[in-house]
Amino acid sequence: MSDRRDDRQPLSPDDEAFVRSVADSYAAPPMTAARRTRFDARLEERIRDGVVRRRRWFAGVAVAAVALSLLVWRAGVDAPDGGEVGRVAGSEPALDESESIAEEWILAMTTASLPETDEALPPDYLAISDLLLGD
Amino acid sequence: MTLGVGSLDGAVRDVDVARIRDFDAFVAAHRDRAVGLAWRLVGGDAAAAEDIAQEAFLRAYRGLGQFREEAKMSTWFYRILTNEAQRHLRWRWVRQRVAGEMPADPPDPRPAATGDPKLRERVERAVADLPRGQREAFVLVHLEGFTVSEAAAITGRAAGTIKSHLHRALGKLRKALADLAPSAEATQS
Repeated sequence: MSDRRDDRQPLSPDDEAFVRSVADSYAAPPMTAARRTRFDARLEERIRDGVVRRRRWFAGVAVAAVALSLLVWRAGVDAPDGGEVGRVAGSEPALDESESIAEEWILAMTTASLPETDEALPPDYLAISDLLLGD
Repeated sequence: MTLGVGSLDGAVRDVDVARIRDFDAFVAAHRDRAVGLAWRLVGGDAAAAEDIAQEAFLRAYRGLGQFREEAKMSTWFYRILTNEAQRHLRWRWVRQRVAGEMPADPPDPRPAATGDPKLRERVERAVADLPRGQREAFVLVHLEGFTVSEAAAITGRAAGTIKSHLHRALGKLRKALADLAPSAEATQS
């Protein structure tokens, strides 16, 4: 966040004091040196595991692709599309993305009845909000 | 962070050294703020806040190199973090409904937040009761000190929308926590 120019609407002294008391009473416990060290160590471990997992996944896909190519070749059957097998082996790792899609799908199904939390602004308010609040 | 090239053994030998150094610096610069922001977004859950920050940093690591400017990278990072926090809240909602009464969690070894716990709980509930857009705008701008344009970039909303969310959030919180609001005289004295 390089641009620190403050574009917030100035608050009244009352509001300013209120916001300060909310901020003071609702603040996370400070990060101690020990907590930082544990956080970093865990992050490092997760990155290392992720790289290894990703490589294993790549290796698995590559082995499967080679095996499939051999099968097709031995059966004397031309692959329907010569580029298809190569494309699978060389594709971007979709592991995280597919996990995310699956998770999103589960969430969407299970939270269908969840009341909409992002309140839409009424059209009349939207129309005049720029005049009232500026942009 | 101590994520040096040597510390990763052979696992990421081919990863650009500069990339790791950039990431170390990025984590060091944003770690505390990320955990604090996540804590406020998920209602004072220290364990969840650390998990959310970890997940956001992991994703940022995978995306390193796509961003030449630190400012764009950090905006993107906080956007991931905000979305992760929302995802956490949604999962928590699902778990509460599926599992019903869950056994109490073991005590959290992390240090507790300072201040009056009852007051903190009230503020936490009032902030949690805000609609998502208002909650995010209020936490980002008023509690975490992001500018309106930064909050707009992080949440993917227009600056005007952020301003109106702020206006509404402040009104609702002042109503819910009326006793916290000092009188004008007390403020001036």
